[in-house]
Amino acid sequence: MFTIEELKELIGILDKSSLERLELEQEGTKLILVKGVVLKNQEAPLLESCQTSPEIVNEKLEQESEIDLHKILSPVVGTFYMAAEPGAKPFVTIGQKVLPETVVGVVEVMKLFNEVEAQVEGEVVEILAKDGDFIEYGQPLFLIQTK
Amino acid sequence: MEVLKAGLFTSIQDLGRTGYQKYGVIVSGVMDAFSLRIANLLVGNPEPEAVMEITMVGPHLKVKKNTMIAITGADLSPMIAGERVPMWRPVYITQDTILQFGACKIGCRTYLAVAGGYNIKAVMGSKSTYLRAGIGGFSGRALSKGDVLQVLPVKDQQRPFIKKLQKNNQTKNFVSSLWYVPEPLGLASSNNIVIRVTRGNEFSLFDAASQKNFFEKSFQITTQSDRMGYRLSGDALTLENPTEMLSEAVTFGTIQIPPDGQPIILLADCQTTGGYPKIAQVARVDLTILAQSKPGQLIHFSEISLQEAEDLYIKREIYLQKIKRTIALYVN
Amino acid sequence: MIFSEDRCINESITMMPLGETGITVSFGKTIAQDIHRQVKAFANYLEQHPFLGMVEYITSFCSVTVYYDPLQVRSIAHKQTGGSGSLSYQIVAGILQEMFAMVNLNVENKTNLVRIPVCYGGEFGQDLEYVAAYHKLSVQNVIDIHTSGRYLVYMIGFAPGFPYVGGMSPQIATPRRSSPRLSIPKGSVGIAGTQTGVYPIETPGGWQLIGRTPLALFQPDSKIPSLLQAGDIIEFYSITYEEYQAYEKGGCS
Repeated sequence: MFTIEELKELIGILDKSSLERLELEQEGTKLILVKGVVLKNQEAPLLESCQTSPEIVNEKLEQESEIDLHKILSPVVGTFYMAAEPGAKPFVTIGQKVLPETVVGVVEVMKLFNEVEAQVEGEVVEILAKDGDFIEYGQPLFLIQTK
Repeated sequence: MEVLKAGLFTSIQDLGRTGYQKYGVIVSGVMDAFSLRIANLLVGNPEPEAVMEITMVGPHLKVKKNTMIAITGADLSPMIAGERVPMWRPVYITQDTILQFGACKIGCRTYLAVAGGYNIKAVMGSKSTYLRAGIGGFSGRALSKGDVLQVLPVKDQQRPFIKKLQKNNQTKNFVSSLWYVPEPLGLASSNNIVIRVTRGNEFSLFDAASQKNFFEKSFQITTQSDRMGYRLSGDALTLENPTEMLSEAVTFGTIQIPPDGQPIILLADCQTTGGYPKIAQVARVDLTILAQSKPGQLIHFSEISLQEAEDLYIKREIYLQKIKRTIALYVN
Repeated sequence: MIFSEDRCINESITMMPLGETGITVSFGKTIAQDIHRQVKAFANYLEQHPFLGMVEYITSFCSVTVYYDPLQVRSIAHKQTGGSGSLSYQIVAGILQEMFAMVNLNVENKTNLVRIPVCYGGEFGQDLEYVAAYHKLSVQNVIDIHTSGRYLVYMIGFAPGFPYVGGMSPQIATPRRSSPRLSIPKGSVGIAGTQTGVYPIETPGGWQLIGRTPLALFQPDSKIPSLLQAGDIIEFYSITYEEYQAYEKGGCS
């Protein structure tokens, strides 16, 4: 969890840099700072508008840590595919709801295809591997937000 | 036994279909003969009896009748009702129990032998599955969800031991013997494996650099690998002079070098003949290590003499005979 | 390597190990009828006189490979000679050497003629027109040339029952397709370079397909599962589409 001091420092760094977006992960907490968020009808200077963000971001993080993020790990070594065939619709997309038996991807090894199931009920929040990547046994493939 | 989930690739294999290679019929059979033979010895079957070969991600099976089994090979976490089923020893399972396997961390293939053997029709003297030709094994293919395998009745000499095990079973749905074969495969979790080979017929046709590199460099097992052969990737190996070779006999363990210079290790389902230069032959005892290796791992070839290869082969046969005699003491 | 000399022709054989469970006896290096005759004669002898410890043998264009069980070979030799601890490869090489000295390699083998009915062209021979155009011949020319040949089966390999055949006329020799087909139906007759042959089972392949036969080249339930064997002579003859259907329905082979 980031302290207010740390957040202020990060915002300062971001502000001074030419970066527009900063993503940080620390011990299960993810922090996203976006520069130049224009709030409707406000002409407040960048620094001020950013200053409002840390509280909001922190709150959001607190909420998120109450929700479980489940990692789907690869059951085999092999090549990861997002769809059943090249050009076909992907099994799942970010935001999609899944059930334990939902097939979320496929890992190909030795010309055999292994369907990867969600194993939990929830929503896909992140896809951690790219289509066609070589995957190790146990490598995380998806992040599912469970209730 | 009913297949509730098939796993990645599960098929019926025995020690192979011999005697028909001159007709172009491949040998097939298990990839890891060592584990198969021990599995059969543990349940009192004849050594060459057919077993289920389970690859990388195992099946979920419903055992419909009281059965004695043995599981050998790689550890795919066999479980019954959340409890681990021990490997490398006979296990008695009561009817209507579900045996499930997970995925493997170390090794690649697991073998499930059942006392009495699976009731599979032999084709040309073997129960092995010949995938390409669609014959043998369970309908000439890998097992799929819904398949039901019948188990043959056990022989009279197997009964007393099964009864002994059965008596120990009070309330649980499975019970195993207290004795076991110490896991003989010695599978390491390392990504590097050493495979011992003897020089092939065409070894000397390769240029000096290739001859050196074959033993000094590592080759990675690619995902374009299967029961027919493991395709490796690494430094290309080239012939001194390009030669058109005529097709000749090849066998399980023959290492061929096609025009692209990337080695192919021929395995259980390889064809009977091939036309690429043969750089080396894997020592038979190390076929076991190969059978338990997976894409991503790195292979380092180590040269041994024909004498050493043969001695290793004989040594293993003697070990198996010892195991057989020891098991007989416990079983009778 | 062990060398030996044929009494009549003064040629030599070489023996090389194929790992510790196989030995390859080589009679030459080219596709030639006289080498094939020696291979066949030696194989026939092995067929009639298998030695203890032998598992099986297989023939190719120029060689015979014998598979054996080192444990059996060593234990039998041990019993016979009181155990000199010889390498089983050497023991087997010695046995084969003796056989070589005894076999008459120049005997004319009885040849078996197999006539294969083929329905040429149409859906069965999608590349027949290409082959004809490639050689600036008519489709009928190609069929006539293909059916007038007498083809020697040098060996069976690549697939169960698949013959490696020699003697095809260079007039219709056509390179393989640049992109192979993922699946070629069973019974397809094709050309690849100077080779011709029949696919006994469905496989991927790059041959130019000129027709199809209703004969089953691979018969898994027969005592001898291959219709053709090394040494057979093949003749192809043309049948009509109706005859093909009748053949299939009649189920004769």
